[in-house]
Amino acid sequence: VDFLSSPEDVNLKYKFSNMLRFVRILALTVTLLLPGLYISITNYHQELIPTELLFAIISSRLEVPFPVIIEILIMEVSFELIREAGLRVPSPVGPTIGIVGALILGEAAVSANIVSPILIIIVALTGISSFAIPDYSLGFYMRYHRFGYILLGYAAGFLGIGLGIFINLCLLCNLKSFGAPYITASPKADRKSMHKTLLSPIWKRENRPGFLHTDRPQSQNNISMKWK
Amino acid sequence: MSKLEKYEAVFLIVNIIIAHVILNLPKDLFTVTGTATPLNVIYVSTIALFFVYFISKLLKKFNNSDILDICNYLGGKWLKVALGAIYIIYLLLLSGGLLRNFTEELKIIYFPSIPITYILLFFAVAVIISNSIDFKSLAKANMLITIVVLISMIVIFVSVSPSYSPEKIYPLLGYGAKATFVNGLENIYAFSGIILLFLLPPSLKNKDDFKKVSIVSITFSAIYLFLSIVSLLFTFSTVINLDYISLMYLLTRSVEYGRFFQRADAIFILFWVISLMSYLSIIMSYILYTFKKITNIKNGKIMVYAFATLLIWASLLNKSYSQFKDFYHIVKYAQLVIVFGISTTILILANFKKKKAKLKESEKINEN
Repeated sequence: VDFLSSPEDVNLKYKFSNMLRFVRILALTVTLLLPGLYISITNYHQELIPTELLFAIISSRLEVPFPVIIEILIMEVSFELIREAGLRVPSPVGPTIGIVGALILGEAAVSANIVSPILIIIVALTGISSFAIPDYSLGFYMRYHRFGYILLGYAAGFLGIGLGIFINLCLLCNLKSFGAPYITASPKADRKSMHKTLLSPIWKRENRPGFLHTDRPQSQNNISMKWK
Repeated sequence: MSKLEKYEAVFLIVNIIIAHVILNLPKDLFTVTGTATPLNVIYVSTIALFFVYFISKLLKKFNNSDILDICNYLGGKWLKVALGAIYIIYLLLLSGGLLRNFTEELKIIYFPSIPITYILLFFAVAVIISNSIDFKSLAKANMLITIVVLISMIVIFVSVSPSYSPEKIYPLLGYGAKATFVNGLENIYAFSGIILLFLLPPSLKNKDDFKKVSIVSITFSAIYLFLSIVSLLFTFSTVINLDYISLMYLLTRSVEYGRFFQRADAIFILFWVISLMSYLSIIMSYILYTFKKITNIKNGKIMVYAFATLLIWASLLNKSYSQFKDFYHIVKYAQLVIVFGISTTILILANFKKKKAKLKESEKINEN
């Protein structure tokens, strides 16, 4: 969750910060899994989609000549191209690239029956969610792991997605940075620390993170809220 | 092996019962005891609790030693190798059988035109990759997965509760008192996770936690098993016998949220796939651990490729599902012999030997 924290979080009221954290966790899940889940559901688990929505998806895909995997790869690669081009061109032209790329190309692709409208929604949601991740490196990881999930979802539906999640989770649990694990699964971990999934009120942020094994474990006295 | 916290160790054992309940365990229990299964589960759970308390007492005298070390103490290297080999074969057959069962189900439900080996390959990849990392990381991941799966199970139980008919529990004694309490004793095989308890002590960070871990894990497993059995019994008739599809899957088919989400079963399948991968990886870790211990090889991890191949071979051992059912019955009884017979006898004999050695020592001191 440290990767999903933004510097302004500690300055906001803890309720607002926590809400934003939830939004970022949702964004992370969407950006990583949504295209993979879409391809799994449309190829293997159609029963998950409510009947009316299923009819809408089928009718929108009737004119599209490509299989879903090609469709989604075309759109994802196009999105990455637009993003990269938007960064490289001079700043006054940047937004234009975004508008031309996203709006005009998307609309044209749908009109030319290269992709279905529902896929535009999926790719757009994925792209927007990737911008909500505060850590740039984590954003990169999500971007290239997303392609892995697309291929796994295409290969075996939820079985493939399950394999991806399991391996990712094992590798995350194995990761350490300067001896501190990325994931602490102990229920006792850092109750009073500010490095938790949810941010506590400021008067409860008394300890430094336990996994750092610091010389001075307290960051502020536990009498910091005397008036209570 | 890296040392485990007690919570991580508890969830290692709980994950095993989850994997079995997802598949055919409830159906097998119902076959033996009918509507008396909830009563029988309470009965066998109590026995299992007493049993783990007993083995924790027996293991206490051997500081941080597992059953293989105790074998070495009791009968030397050969006994250790023999028991290690039995454990490896048993764990391979058990997990292979379970894998076959699950993949058959997946094939029927989602992949009718795909060969079963293709589905098996996904599990093999999961086992190989997860065993190339530290065991502690795997236990940590397993803990997170098991918590999510347990929550998902509670969601299933709550979601299908409107269709419960509690009168299905009658007659309370099912096929009779003898079938429930005498023949039904064999249902103790539901706690197959006990086998890992014999290998667990050296992996624990704090050796005093063993008793706590064993009792808490069996209690958790018992509660979970009881809830599953009651939910299934309240929903289906005990005479239901669909050879391929597990009752738990059928239960998820009845989950619906309004008019929009009427078939959520695939979501639960996703959780179960992850849970089963975790289960297989843990079993594989213990197979590698046992193999390393009996052969004294330096790097046991490299053997994961060979054992993953053997796991696939074990799951393809039976040509058809009916053959598999007979085979599974043999594995079930083998478990009763290995866990409750051989391993416990070895523990008791080793305790006697230790007592004798202590007596001799005190006699020598007295003579001097």
